[in-house]
Amino acid sequence: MFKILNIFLSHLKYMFGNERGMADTTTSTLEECVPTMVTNALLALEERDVVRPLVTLDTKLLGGPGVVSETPIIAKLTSEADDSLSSQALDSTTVGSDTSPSSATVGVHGSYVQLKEIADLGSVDNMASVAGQLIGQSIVTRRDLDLVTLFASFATNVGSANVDITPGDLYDAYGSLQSGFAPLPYELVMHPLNIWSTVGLISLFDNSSDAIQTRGPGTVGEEWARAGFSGMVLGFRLWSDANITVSSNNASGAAFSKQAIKYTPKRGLKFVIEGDAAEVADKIVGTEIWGESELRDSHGVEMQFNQQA
Amino acid sequence: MAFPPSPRKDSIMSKEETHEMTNAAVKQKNSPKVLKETAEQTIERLNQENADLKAIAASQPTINQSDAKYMQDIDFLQSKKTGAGGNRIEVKEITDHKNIPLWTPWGKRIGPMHPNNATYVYHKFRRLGRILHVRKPSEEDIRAYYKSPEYIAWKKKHDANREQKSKSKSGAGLDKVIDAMVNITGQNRRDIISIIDKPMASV
Repeated sequence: MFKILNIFLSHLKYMFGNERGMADTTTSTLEECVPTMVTNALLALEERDVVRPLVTLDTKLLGGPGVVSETPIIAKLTSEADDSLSSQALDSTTVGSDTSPSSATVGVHGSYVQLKEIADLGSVDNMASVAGQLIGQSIVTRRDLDLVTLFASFATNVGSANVDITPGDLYDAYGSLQSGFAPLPYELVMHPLNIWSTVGLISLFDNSSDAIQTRGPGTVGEEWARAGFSGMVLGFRLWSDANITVSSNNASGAAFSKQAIKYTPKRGLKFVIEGDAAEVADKIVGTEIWGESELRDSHGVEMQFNQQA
Repeated sequence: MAFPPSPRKDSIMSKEETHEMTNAAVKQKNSPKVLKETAEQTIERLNQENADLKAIAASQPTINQSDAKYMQDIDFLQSKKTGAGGNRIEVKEITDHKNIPLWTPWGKRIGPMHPNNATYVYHKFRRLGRILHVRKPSEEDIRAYYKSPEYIAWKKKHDANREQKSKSKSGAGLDKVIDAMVNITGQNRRDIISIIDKPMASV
C-alpha cells in the first residue's frame, strides 16, 4: 500500500511540479539551442531593358575598329516645277532640329563586386552567382538609364513642368511625329506614375465625365477599366519605364519613332573573375561597351508632365 | 451606506469625485481647516512632495557613467570591422566617362549624358535659339529668368495653350448641359448621365 501511495504521489509531483516549483521548457529557455534558419535571398528588383528594343540598332562598331559611329543625314531634293532644271547638290547637312551627323561615342560601363571568401563560404546562397546576377542587372539598368535620359534632349516638348497630361498633348505629339515624317509604329514611354495616378494617362480613359468617352465592348476605355492598362493609346504603343528620373513630381517621358535614338553596341557583356589574395576575396567584374545618341530629333517628342495634382 | 451630501458650492471637488467617497471623507475634504492652508504649510507640503519624488527617482535605474562607457566600448569594437562584412554584397559601378547634365535657364535638367552627347545637344539647342547652361543655375538666376521678357512671352503663350488643352480633357461643354438639366428637372446627376447610354426606344 505504501508502494502504491508513493507511486501516486510521484505522479502528483509530475502533474503539479517538484518541490522546487513548476518550470516549463520553452523556446525561450532554450533560445541558444534554437537556430535561425536563413532561406535563399531575394534580390532587390529594378527596371530592366525597356527602351533598347524600341530604338535603332547601329552595329557599325561591332567586331571592328573605331569608338565613334557617325550617321550623316542627307537633305532632300526639291523637284522642279518646270523644265528648266538646275542641279542640286547632295548635302549632308543639318535640317531643322535634325543635326548631321548624328554621332555616338561608345564607353565602358560595368560593375564589380569584391566577394570576400568568408562571405561566400558563410552564406546559404551561392554568392558568386548572386553577384553575377546583380552585376548583370545593374548593367542593363544603366543602359536603359542612358537611353531615357536622352528624352529631355528632344527639341519639342508638348508638356512642361507641373502640368497634367491631356488628350490634346497626345494629339500634338502624334501631329509632330507625322509632320517629321516619322514612320510607324510610335512608342510612348512614360514613368509609371505618369500613367497610373490621379492625373496620369489612365485618368483620360476611366470613362468619368471628363475623360475621353470610350465605353462599350471592345473599346480602349473598357480595356483600361478591366486590365488597368492598354497596349495602345491614341495611336501610340504604351510602355512603362521606372528608370525615368522624377524631379519635383515631374518626369520626362517621350513619344518617338524608331529612328529618334540610336543605340551603338561595341562589345557585349563580359565577366572577369580575379582572385585578390591580399584581400582574401574574388573580384567579379562585369563590363559592356556601348554608346547612344539622338539620331533624328524630329522623330521624338518629350512628354514632361507632373505626377500629382 | 448613506449617500454623500451634495457638494458645497465652494468645494474643490467635482460631483464625480464626491460620489465616490464616504461621508467622512467628504467632510474632511470640505473642511474649512484644509481649505485655509497657510503659506508655511503649503511650502512644507510641497517640500515633502519634492523629497518623496526625489526618493522615487533615486530608486529608478538610470544610465550612469559605467553604462555610457559600455555603449562606447561596443561601438568602438564594432567600428573595427572592415570591408563589406558577411551579409552584404556591394556592387560598385564603373565607367570610363562621366555623364554630364545640361540645364535650362529655369533649372530643368537635361541628361545626364555622355560628354559628346551633351555637346551635341548644347549645339542643337543653341542653333534653335535656346541657350542651355552647363552648370545648374542658382535660385537667383532662375528668379531673374522668370522676370525676363522672353519668359513672360512664353508663359502667356503656354498658359493659353494649356487652357485650350484642358478643355479637351474637362468636357466642360457636356458638364454645363448636365448641370443645367439637373437644375431644371431636379433629377440625380447619375440618372441623367445614364440616360445618355440607353437606347432611344426605352427613354
